[in-house]
Amino acid sequence: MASLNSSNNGDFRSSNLTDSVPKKQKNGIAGAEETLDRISQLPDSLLVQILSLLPTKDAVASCASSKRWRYLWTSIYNFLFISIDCKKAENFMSFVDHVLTHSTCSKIKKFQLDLGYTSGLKISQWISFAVERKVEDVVLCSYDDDLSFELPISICTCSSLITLDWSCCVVDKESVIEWKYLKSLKLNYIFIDDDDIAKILSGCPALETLELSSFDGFRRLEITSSNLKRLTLDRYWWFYGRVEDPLEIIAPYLQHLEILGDLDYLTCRLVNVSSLIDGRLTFSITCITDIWGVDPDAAEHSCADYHQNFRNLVLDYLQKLSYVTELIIGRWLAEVVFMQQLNGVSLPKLRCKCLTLEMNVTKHNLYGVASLLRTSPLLETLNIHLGAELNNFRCQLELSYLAKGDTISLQSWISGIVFPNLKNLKVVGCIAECFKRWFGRGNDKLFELSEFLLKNAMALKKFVIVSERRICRECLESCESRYLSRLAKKLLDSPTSSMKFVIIYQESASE
Amino acid sequence: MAEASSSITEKFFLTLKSSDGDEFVLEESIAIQSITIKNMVEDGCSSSVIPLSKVDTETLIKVIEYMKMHSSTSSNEEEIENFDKKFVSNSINTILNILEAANFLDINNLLELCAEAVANRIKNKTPEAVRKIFNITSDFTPEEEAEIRNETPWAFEGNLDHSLD
Repeated sequence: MASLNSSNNGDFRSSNLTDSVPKKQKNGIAGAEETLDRISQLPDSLLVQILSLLPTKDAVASCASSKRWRYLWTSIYNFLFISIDCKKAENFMSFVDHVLTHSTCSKIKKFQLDLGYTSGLKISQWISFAVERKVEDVVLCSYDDDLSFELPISICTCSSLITLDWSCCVVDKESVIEWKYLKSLKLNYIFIDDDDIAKILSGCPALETLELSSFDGFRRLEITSSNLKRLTLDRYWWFYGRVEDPLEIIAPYLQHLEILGDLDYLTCRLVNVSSLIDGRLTFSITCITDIWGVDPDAAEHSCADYHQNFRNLVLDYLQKLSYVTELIIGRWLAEVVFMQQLNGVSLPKLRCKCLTLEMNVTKHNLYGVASLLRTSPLLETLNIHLGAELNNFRCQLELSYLAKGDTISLQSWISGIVFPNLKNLKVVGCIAECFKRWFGRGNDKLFELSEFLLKNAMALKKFVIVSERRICRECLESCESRYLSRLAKKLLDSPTSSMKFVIIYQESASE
Repeated sequence: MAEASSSITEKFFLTLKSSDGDEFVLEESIAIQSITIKNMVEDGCSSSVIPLSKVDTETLIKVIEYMKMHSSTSSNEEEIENFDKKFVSNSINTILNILEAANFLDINNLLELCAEAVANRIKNKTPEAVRKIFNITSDFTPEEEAEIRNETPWAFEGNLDHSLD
């Protein structure tokens, strides 16, 4: 109580709080707390709520606790069946069947299947059970990308559905899609053509969020509903051979766009995204010489045009996103911007106020980043999320461009620049990789960028460095916090142009 | 006179009374995170003391602590996240008391937080461990229990956690 009083700000005042009040009144004699079975005193509704938060197997297992718990699980309204929890496929089958047969729930909130195999599963029967009980959220999660799970007919017209998240998804050409109230749709490992995606979109008029990952097939994504505000495209996935046509995105009402992951060679063309507020472009493209199945000679021949095409595309992205106020950029894009600048192409002015870089700052992307900073005069916040690279192959042509970074200095690259509005800088360490190994390569330019920003950001208020204190599996030291604390110390001694700012170093313990 | 002197937006205060008879004065804007209290205020019951006959002093203090942290005016997301993390590390019976209070007071996010915390202590545990964690005494005969386990054998297989953490 003392700590409470000391933390109050005047509006909390306890009167009558004397020791004469017996503390454990409710629980009978003091000390009884230790042995009290408090949980069994809760009303059924609360116990069912708790059991509904558990994997269904655990909820059922509670029946062996005591008579009070014997049949509580039959009222749960969320179901989560995890196939790997069962030793054998038959066990999993009888587990799901038993639970559904004994369920007394009339309104299911969430129904989730985590599956590692398909054989013998009665998925459509189980889904029908959920659909009949007006399920709101359905998740089918697969541990194996090689599996495929067709959308059962019953779910295709389920009007109670609010969110649907379906992996390794197959949509029957003949099926009618009618999801009147669906708000969020996530499809993973999905091959659908233009007609399928158009059919799906027209079938869910209330849709707000669409997320497609590991996708292929369609080359035209036209979103005409003004409700759909958020689109995420994550990873391009080859299903049947290579189709070079670009994917056209026509979404005049879209407010949030994310394109991430490895897109291989896929060109996403933003035809109309005029309402965007924020965008994430952290995808990467693979050089044609590194794409499986392409004739090496032909690839060699078209490599230069291939990259020129993507450089033009990036320029188009920056133009289309020049009005957004929040941008997240990955290392591939920063490198392409650098190459454009080397070619003397000028960048459009960006109205971005908050820029997040998801990359390790290296000599390959530093100058691209600097050019983006120069073209964003309204920038107030810059976040740098240090992160490992997934795809770091670069062809000879790319390397010959990027090598020019060796002889450039930041001061000469963007000379005479001030950042009139930049107030907040934040560096967050979240690399899964060993810092020692990564930064031992001599590519690291984070200090150089930080120092440059300190020198030129006149209005800077805060420079926050966040590190997670964890023992690295590779070097067995806490390499991340060591690296970032050293960065903070070095910056303390660097010249600054802002008269009033602080460097904050935060270290959190990892779990 | 008082009205004339208060130039900025006036703050309203409510008095909440615990089942132990202790009174707590709290800003209305903070207290109405509880839908139960909000309804009482709207029904005009706020002028006098609001009796919360189902919430003891110890629990009410925790609930108020939570509501203050979660009121719209104070604290950023990170602070709230850290607070919540620490909050659920209270003893299990304290959490259960808060859970029931949150249900009575209709504070949905507090209810969800506590329910999740309780669920996390059951997740993947053997029935024996669950009984020990919550002081549940089995009133089954060994034969009855064996029979129950036999009905749903798959519920008791796999790598279950015997610890009491």
